[in-house]
Amino acid sequence: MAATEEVKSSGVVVSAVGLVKEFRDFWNKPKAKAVNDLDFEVREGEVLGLLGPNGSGKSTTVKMLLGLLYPTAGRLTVFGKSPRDVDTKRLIGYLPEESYLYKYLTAYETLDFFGSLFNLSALERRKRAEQLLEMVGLSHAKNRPVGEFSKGMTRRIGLAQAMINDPSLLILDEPTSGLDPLGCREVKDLIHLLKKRGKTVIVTSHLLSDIEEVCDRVIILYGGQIRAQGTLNELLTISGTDRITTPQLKPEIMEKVLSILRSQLTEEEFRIDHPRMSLEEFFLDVVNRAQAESVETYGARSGGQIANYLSGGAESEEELKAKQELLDSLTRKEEPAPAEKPVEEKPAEPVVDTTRLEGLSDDALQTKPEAPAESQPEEEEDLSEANEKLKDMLSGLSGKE
Amino acid sequence: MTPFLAIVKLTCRSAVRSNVFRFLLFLLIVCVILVPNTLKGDGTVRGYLQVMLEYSTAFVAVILSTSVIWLACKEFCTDVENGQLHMIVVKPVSRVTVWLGKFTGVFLIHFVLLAISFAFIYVFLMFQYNRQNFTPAERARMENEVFVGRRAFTPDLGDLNQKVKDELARRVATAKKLGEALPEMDGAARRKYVQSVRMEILAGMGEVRPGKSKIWHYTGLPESYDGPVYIGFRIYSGNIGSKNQKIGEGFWFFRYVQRILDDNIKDRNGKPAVKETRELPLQLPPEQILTSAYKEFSVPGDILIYNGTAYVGFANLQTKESEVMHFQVTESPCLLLKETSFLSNYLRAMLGIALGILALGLIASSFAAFLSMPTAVFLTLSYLLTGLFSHYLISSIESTGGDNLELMDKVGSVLARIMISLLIPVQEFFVSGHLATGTLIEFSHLGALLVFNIILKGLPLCLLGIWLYWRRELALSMKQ
Repeated sequence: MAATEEVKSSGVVVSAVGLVKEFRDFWNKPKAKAVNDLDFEVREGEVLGLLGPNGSGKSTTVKMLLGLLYPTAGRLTVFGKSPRDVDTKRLIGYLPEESYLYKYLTAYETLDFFGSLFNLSALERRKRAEQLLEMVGLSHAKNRPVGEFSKGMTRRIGLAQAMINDPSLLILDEPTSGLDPLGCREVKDLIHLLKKRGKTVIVTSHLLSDIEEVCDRVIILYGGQIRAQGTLNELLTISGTDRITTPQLKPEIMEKVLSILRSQLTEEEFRIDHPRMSLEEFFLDVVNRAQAESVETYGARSGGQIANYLSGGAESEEELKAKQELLDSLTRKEEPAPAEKPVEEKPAEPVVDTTRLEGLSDDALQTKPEAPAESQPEEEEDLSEANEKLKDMLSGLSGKE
Repeated sequence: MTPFLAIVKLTCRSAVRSNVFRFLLFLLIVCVILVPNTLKGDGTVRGYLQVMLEYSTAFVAVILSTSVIWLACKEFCTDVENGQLHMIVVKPVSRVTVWLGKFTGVFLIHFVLLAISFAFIYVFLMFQYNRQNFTPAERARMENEVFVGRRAFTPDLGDLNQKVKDELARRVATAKKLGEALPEMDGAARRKYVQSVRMEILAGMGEVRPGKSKIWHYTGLPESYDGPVYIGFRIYSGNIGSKNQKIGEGFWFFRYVQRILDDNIKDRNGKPAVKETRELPLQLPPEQILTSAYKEFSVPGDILIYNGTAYVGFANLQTKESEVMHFQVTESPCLLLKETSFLSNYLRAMLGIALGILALGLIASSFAAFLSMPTAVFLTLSYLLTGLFSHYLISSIESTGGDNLELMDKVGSVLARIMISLLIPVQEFFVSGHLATGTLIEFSHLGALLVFNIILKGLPLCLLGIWLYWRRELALSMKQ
């Protein structure tokens, strides 16, 4: 496909130049300018967050990307072609904000239908549908009409249909809306996985923590215009402040640290407290324990393994190798690029910066062996938990129901 | 092809799982089962079977017509309004394919229902027919008059336009000769006058005055036909009978061309060749005829037909000057010749109705492609009614146009003609009446309906609908 070649060479998946969308009334008089002179690019393998309050032009932009609305002015290309180009849509997956699925179709029929639209063979459709249903935790409800599903289950099947073609560009409109924290976590894990496979993802969400956790770059819209854009580091780093996180310090050490701080800063300029788990982390922990005890539920279950074809379609040894690779990459120590963050990384938690710690002038802090000795087991415990979860996700070996 | 078939399948599923469709299906079943059991006809078994045939098939056609309009509008409009179509058009499938898939699905499910209904009616009809204690003669009559496909031949009217011209010229010449005022021959007045002359000529061709006779000529008949030829007719006027029925008296006569054979000369088939022919009149006994009622009698084909032509005459035995008998020569007396079996004719009727459903689906789908559901349904029904009444509109305007309404007449007439040329008269597809009288449903008629109505009139509308469907901004039409 020529467009794909073009994208490969330029690395630009979506390009908008001077994009304008004006809604007009019956008499063709301008009614509202939903999008006003947008310029942005989305590069291959990037996870982009579109942020903005209601009416800021996020949905209009997404609908223009999908060819559901046409730009009034400007140029918009997806994979180097018009968003209305039919072939381009082979590479796109879309999860809308609302459930626009056919209520009379069962979950399996829904996936089979959308698979047919991609001209997949019956065998391939069946294989993918079953894997996706397993992945989104709806295997047990595959013969139930979608109209009977709860909102969370509908979101899950919506997500599954968006993945049926193993898209190169995935557009997720409020992907975690209606999902329980477990579902949210699975969606975020999926986005991380897709990114690892070089897929491009555009996410719109009102939940800023979602965006923060998964996106490389964000665009903040207001009044149809871009108000800010850049990587999360660029946008979120507060210059002129530092944070240090350590294992719990003994009182005498704490006193020493405080005295050093007091000698250099006023009381109002620094703060010491205990880091907290996020509620999401706590919730996930509780549910994981319940699942381990095989507590029955009639709703959506925790997703199973990622669909084979989404994991690269590897089989047997190759598959195991890929899984191991992914597992390794996700459990290895944090790397600078956000893409390589492990799934179980806790971005909300402060990062331990040992060089800064060493920079503190108190000798006692540097010579005391207890601190690193104490911190070691905690780190290992974190990794084993992450390993466990990832094993669940990737191989489905542990009891997930 | 897979996406197209998936959309067809989805449309069928949507229909089957919809409550409104289930209700219409229920109505269909009720009609197919109950209608035949509640009809009585004219009291005779033959009448019962005829009425059952006509009403059952007509009810099925009406219900499926309603259903196809509803389903087509629903499939196209609600998909857009509820955003479900968004999920399809963001996949690699063109909107033309989506339109065609939905339309095919709508038509397909109705065609299947039509086939099932017709199969049931046929089986039930044959069951009722076979369980009756008909005498062999009655059975033969049923099979020759009802359970058959007969081609109708009406009297040869010749070049009617030329006859009208000649008559006009004659009248002008006569008026000039006698020094009388010429009729007004401008604009609408001329058209009205010409129309009245045409009607007079036609009336004259079907008028049989008391004590007189009329002979009609038929052409285009088969070269040789051995079976019975049915002569169907309806006479207007006559006396009032004892039961307030109009009755008249007359007799029928025919040309019989007698072939005199020569045994010494053989033709290609080894049979004796025709040496000479003699034309003889054959007359049926005089009879009392109930007027305004349709009647048939049969004559052997080899007696009536010669070289693809026939002559049929009727003599009016009434005596009073006012007792004129009239035939509508565009319809009767007609010669009815068996052309095909009942089953074949029945399938042709089904095909006609299927084409009607196709036309309705096409119209509704075209409007629904770019309008909201209520507007699409309203426009479809308006289209049907306008198509239905355009012919009546023209004849009504032409018969009532006075001098003070001349401009309105013109505008109305032009509009009606434009409508006739643009709109599909869907009623022409529904041929249950023909089926019940054993009249052949001609393939040429079905072909003409397909070409002139569906392709020439329906296709442009359909292309307009597809084009608007293709270019519309779908996200603008969503219900919030």
